[in-house]
Amino acid sequence: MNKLFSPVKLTLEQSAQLGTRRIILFSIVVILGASLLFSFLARREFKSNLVEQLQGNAHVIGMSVESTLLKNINHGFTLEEQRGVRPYLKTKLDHNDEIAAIQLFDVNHKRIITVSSDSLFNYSEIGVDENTIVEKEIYHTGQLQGFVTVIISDTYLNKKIDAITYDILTVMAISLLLTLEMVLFITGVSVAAPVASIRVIVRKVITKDFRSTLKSTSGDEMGWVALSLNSAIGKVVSAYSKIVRVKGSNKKIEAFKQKYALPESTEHSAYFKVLLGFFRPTLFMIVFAEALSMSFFPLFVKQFTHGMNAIPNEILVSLPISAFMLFWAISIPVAGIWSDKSGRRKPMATGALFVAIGFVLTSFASSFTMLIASRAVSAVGYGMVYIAAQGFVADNTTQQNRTAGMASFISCFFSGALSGAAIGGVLVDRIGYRSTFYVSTVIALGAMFFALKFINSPHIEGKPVDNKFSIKNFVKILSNKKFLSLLIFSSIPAKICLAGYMYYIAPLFLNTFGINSSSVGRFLIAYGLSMVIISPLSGRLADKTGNKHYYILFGGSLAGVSLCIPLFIQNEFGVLMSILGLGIAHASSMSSQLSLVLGMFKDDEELGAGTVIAIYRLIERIGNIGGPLIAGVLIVTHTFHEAAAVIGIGTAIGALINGLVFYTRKPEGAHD
Amino acid sequence: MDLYFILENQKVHMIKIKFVLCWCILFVVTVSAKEIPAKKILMILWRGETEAERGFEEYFEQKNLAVDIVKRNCGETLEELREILKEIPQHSPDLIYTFGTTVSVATVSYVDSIMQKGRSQIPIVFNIVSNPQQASLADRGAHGKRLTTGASQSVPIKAQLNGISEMVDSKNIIMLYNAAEKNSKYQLSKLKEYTAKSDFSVLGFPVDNTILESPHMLDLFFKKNRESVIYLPSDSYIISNAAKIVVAANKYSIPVFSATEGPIRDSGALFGLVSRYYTVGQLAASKAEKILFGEVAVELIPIEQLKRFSFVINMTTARKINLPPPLLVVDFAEVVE
Repeated sequence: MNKLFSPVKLTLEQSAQLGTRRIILFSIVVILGASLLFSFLARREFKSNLVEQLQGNAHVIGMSVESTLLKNINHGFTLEEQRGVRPYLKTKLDHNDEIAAIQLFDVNHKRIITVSSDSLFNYSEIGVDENTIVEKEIYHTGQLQGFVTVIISDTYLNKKIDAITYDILTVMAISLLLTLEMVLFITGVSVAAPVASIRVIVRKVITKDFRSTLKSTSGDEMGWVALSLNSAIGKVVSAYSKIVRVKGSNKKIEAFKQKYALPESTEHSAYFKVLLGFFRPTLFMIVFAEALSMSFFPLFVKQFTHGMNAIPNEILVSLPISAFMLFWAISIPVAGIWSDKSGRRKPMATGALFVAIGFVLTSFASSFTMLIASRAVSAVGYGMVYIAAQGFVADNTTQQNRTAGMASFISCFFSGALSGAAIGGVLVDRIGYRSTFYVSTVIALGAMFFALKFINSPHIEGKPVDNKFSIKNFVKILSNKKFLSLLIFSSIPAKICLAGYMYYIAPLFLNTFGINSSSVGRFLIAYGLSMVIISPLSGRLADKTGNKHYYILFGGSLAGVSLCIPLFIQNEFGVLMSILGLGIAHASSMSSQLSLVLGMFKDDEELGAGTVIAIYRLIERIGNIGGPLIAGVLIVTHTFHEAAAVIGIGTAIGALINGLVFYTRKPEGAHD
Repeated sequence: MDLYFILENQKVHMIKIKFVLCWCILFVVTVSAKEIPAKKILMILWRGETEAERGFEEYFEQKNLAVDIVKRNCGETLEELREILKEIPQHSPDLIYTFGTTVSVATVSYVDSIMQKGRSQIPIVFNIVSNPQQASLADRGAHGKRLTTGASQSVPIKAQLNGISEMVDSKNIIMLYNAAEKNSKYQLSKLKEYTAKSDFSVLGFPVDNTILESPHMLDLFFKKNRESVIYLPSDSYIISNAAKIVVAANKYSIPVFSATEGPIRDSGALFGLVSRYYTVGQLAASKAEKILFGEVAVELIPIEQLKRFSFVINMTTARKINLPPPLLVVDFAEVVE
């Protein structure tokens, strides 16, 4: 905190960082404050409207009861003589959750009967206010016969208000995440990147290199500085060119050229520092768009499985998810090679376009086959963006900060997944499946724009483009025992947990507790939050301490234990705990997995980062594809919590085996 | 004469001829249409017209189907029934409508016998027969075909017992039945069979003219069985004497359940789960329509009962015996005075 408000003179970079942090803090405070105020007002308004609506319902129920009573009263029976009152009023309560009790009173307001939905109901103890009691008088031929009172349930009221509060808080949390992403990006583009670019150009000038200028398009202070610097460089180059034109080439000029690097023509190469964080908007938006449907997708698929009785429904529902994972896996090596050869921009932009097309097709799907095909299209695009983004991270990090870089990738990924899953559930309850897919389409197209604008196309200077996805490289990578162990016993089980439990079992499991789509999204937030918050911290710690395999062992064990929790706590709280535990487990281990994998082959010049990541991710897809299928098979013969426990136990055993491998094996040309 | 004038004259003449020709064709078509004869239906009734017949007739009216209905009433006597059956060849109906089990069984037997003598089949549609299977109406005739189809007003016993449970607390059912009527005895046996494994108990009480005309006997019986519910089956004799039974039962506030609609509306039985006679009549008419106008063979048309029934409560009786219907029941029941 001291650094934010320190009076000590700072360097340009430190000033930029400080400025960025202040902007982020200010944005968070403004968003938080505005959101809290809005939430308070919205909640109050909602409560008022809800009470009014419930009063209307209660009035209708009162009228219905009166009408039935009058059928007997009109034939000479008094209110006290009525038969079967209790079971009749009970059916009214059973069909109207918002009603706590119905009472009948005689003309003197003496209570005849009270029927409540809660056996412990005690009228005098209920903190009801006048807003929650609706009374109806019963008249026959102008004579008052008695009263019927309908009491609105406080529990129901509070439950509804809590639900809307959760929705509001969800939106608030997602707003913060979105704001953070945008602020990080905007400050990066308009502050950090220009500052870094200035630094690079100034350093070049100091080392007598006048071949580059700054790519300045902004009209702000940074742009002004850039223009001034460019102007100064331009004057030097112009003066030199003039001399050369007038004097021609001579010894003095040749000696000058030896000392000073000058462009051959008046055209300079415009330089703009590409920051690591530039991949974030595209990746975030693609993952967000895809995650919008996460909480309700299994339920959406069920619409297409009618009449397909040959295969159990549970397996059928898993097929589109597995198809997505399969095509995602297939696209990875292709995308890896392509992004290594042509740069990261084209695959990311093309991938975003594919995702958008896939969502359009999904929204119009009229058959199970078409649904699978549409998911395949989206998956291909998703794989392109996914791999190109990781390649971008590998391009812009070194071994010293790679884990932190990968953690940034992971936190961005899950920030998008978290936001999308939470919003998707709320969205689909209000606008329906098809419209939600349209929203995803628009967001994917936005991601394409960011990719085209901000992802650099040329390759990183000095790095050779030599990645080949050949059988030889494939065999070389797979013959690394540690790599194989990590993949089989850690990475693949982690993906099985994610795809099989998080994406498949958990939403269906929660549905059995009567939890609707918007609430399922809230549960999935726990996983995403853990990834967003803990992953960067874990990444930095892992870079600092080394011994990344311990982080992986911890993550795998915790994942296994977490999936066993629903076995002992068989309700929505147990599911929540398991999701949270899984999030912490994966946040602790995933960035270390990636970093460890890249570190194993850092000395091999024939194997580039893109190839290694592509092969790793390709084989890891086995977990993504197999996860829903394994889960689907398990829940045919087991309950949801048993199926989760089976997956969990398998994961924990795998983690222990991998831990043993890393503990006992000597490094094979790679170190932690 | 001018050629043009001649030709124009001829043209006008041709137009006049065509005009007259059109009117002639129209006239012929209209007359021909009027000459299509209505289908003849012979209605053989047991105890005069009921709502069932009204439903049957109005079906054809609503659909603008031309039928000519000849009604013959047996007046609840077998002799009259026999006489009416002998008239069948004389009427030469396209279809015979029968009311009730007795009439239906006799008519089928008669038609079967005349077919054996070489006469062509006359399709029969029965109405208000509580158990067609038991009455052998679903059986094939001597020549191997089913001669009749129709509609039954019976309500499944399970539904009836549920209705009784909803309305009254008593599980003791006393069924008054006509000992001389096979159908009536059959209903009693079915009721006993069904309730054998339930908590209902069923007692059959045969009634005849001796009992019904002796108020003392009925009174004595009901006095001894106050905690029961009286069950009136689908039996014409019982239905005809329902009023006497109800008056006697009301004296001891004994609820009376009727398997048919008439005793509730007309004789003051407390309640019943019934098929509306009018609706059953319409169902029977739909089958007659298929035979007469759709030219569908009788044996291809299934014998059916209604799928939805009415819970009818007589509120005047409810007040008399001080038994208000439970609210769950009165909420959906049809209330009559």
